[in-house]
Amino acid sequence: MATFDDPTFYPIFPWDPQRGWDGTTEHAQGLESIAACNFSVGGFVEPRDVPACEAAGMSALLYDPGFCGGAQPDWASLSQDQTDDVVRGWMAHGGVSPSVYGFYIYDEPGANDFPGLARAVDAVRRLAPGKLAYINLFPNYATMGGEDSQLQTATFEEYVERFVSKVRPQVISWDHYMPQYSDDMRDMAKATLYYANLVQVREIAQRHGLPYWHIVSSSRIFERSTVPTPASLAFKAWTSLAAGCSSVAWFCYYDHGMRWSPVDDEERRNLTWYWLAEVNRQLKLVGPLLKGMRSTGLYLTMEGLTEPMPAPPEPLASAVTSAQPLMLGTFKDGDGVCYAVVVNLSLERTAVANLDYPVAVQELSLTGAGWLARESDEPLYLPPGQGAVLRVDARC
Amino acid sequence: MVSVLEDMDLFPILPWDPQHGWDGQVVRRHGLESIAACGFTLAGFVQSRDLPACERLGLRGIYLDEVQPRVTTAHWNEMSDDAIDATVRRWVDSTDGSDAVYGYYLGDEPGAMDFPGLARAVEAVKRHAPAKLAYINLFPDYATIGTHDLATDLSQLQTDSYREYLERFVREVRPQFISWDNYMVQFSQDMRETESARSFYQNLLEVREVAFAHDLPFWQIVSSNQIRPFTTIPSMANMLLQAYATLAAGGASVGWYTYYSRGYGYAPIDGDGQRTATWHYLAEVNRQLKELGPIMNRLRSVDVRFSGGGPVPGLPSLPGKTVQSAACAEPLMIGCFVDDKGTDYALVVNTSLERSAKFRLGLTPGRGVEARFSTAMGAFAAMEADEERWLTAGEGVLLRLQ
Repeated sequence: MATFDDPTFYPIFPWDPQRGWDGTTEHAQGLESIAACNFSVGGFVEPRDVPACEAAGMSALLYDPGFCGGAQPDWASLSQDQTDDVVRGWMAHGGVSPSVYGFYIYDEPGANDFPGLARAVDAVRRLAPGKLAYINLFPNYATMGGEDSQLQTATFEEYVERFVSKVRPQVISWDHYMPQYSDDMRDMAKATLYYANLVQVREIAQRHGLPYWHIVSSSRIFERSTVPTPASLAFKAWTSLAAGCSSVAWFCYYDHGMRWSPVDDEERRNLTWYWLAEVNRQLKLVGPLLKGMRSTGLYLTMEGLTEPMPAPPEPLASAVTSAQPLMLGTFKDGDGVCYAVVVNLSLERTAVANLDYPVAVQELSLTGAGWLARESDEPLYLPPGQGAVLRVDARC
Repeated sequence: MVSVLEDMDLFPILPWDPQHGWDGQVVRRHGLESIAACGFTLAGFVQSRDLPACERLGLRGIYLDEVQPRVTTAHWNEMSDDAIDATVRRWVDSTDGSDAVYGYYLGDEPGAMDFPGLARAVEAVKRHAPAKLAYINLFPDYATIGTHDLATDLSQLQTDSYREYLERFVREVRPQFISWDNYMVQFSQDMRETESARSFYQNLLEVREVAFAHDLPFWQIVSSNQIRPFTTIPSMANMLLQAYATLAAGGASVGWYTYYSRGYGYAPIDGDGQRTATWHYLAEVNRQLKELGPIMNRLRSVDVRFSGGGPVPGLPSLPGKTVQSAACAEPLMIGCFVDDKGTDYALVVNTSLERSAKFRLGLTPGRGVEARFSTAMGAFAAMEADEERWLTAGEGVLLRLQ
């Protein structure tokens, strides 16, 4: 089973505690359903669920309702010794299993929570080597500026930097639901927040040599927002891939009153489940490939955003052109070979991208058929939100 | 003997492909197992050697002559009654009464001059295999028309109008159903070119009108590939629209042209015999069709209307008899149906290929929506009477009314 430092394993998980935050919920659509929806991690599970994860071919993030009792447990009041005892207890009760990828620690901390979280991360590093201490951060639209704010810092940049320096995390994870809030990216100010956060977290994480994990929405989130669609789910997955994210998580799998989640409030699959299963299938294929490479650039060709974004430099800008807005993520593998992930940022129209590379280009089959040769004048068609991986026959 | 067309549990979803090519020699890497996995209920045009696999996979097939697979609609005119009779008897004998046989392929896109021969072939199938289908597919309404210049092949329909083409086909051939193909969703660049988009809807409504006037079911063939190098490609949204619009009009089958590449881009199976992303989109659309189809088989189409000015001008608009209005930012297609107990249904389709649509129907006073059919669950789920529903681009939902 996968450990945290396995370079070939791409965590795709439902952002849900399998038995609820208090450990008392039973889901008819349980771990078999999650595996069938092409997740690679079974979400936040208890030790008793680990065998079912293994049977379904998934890893697990262990969640302890006895200690946590909610998404934001009280690490602050524990000394380092007490914190160590908690982690030792987890290891003694199932955590040692190779199927356990890591431990759920905290969701959306303010900066004042960082000292306690630092002790928890340190304990996991020492007492559970190879496992992940999982903490998820706020997005850039959380309140900031004072002690009463969510971030408890003046800026998002300061929030993440302090998280890195104080907590010494193994990954930077954050959640962002603006594709839903922005009415399928039609509200440009909110759409800009999505791209800006992706660019910013990538920069900070790369500066500190850390992987970065993205949580996006697979539900309606709130009553007035639009619903998940095949296009918007593909968009969230592929923009995360193009940015070099090392994991994609979906909030949420179960209903929680949000509606249009993959599983509804009567434990029935709905259409979102089927859309998501297809997007996860693609993630499962592409994620491990890109995770083994270095993300070397992230660019947008899009007008109307409310703040500037990195535009592709030459010769890339003239090599990939389209009437629809695109995201271009560039990558390099261990042999120095160049790759590009091209994403159609329109959630409405199919993009026709013209590729004018001076060298041969291959496209990754999204059905497992390997690299497919492309004719030099063959346009790249991408349905709304869809992406493609190109291998450019050149060192870069 | 019960006709295949009366099988209420089977909704025909057909890959419009000869399984072994038009010469009968092609060996597919992705064969019948792949077609079944993609959610089809029919196997396309098969030979007798394919029938055991069809039976094992729960598929039914339309038999294609294995002696002369390149059947043209014109060649029936050249055959005597005895020769036609012998041919159809040979087909029936070679398929040995297999339940997997849904029907027999007689030809594609005939001109009106081919109708006399086809009529005799249909009659022979009715005589020798009365429970099976005599399969003929017609041209769309954008085929060339006219009765002049027939000798130079400038007219595909060989009639002065599309309506005349349909009427003469029914009158002269006496078919069991009307099938036609229309690829204007692709040709219209995802319905952005109005005139091409209009053809998709008008053709559907015109066939519906003629078919129902003659008490015939109708089958539509739509596109699951790029169709032309300059057209847009299959997407989840445009395949959903093609499927749901057919259902909303009361169509009794959806055929997908094509399953195999055969030179077309972005087909479900590419030129190297590999599945493409289209395969996965289509599998999901077919899954929905397979769930909903048997429900639709048991309903009778009574009306089709469009809201919000329609996706193109000139289509029938609300109010209808049952659905008076629709509150929605996107144009909807609303097919109205009734079951054998007199319960009303509405199949609502988001005709936008770009945006999700939130809608609420305005029904005649005292009425409301009772339930929606969930293709995810395969069952009706209760709804609040005034509940708003979302439809993603191209998607449809069947509502049961109080």
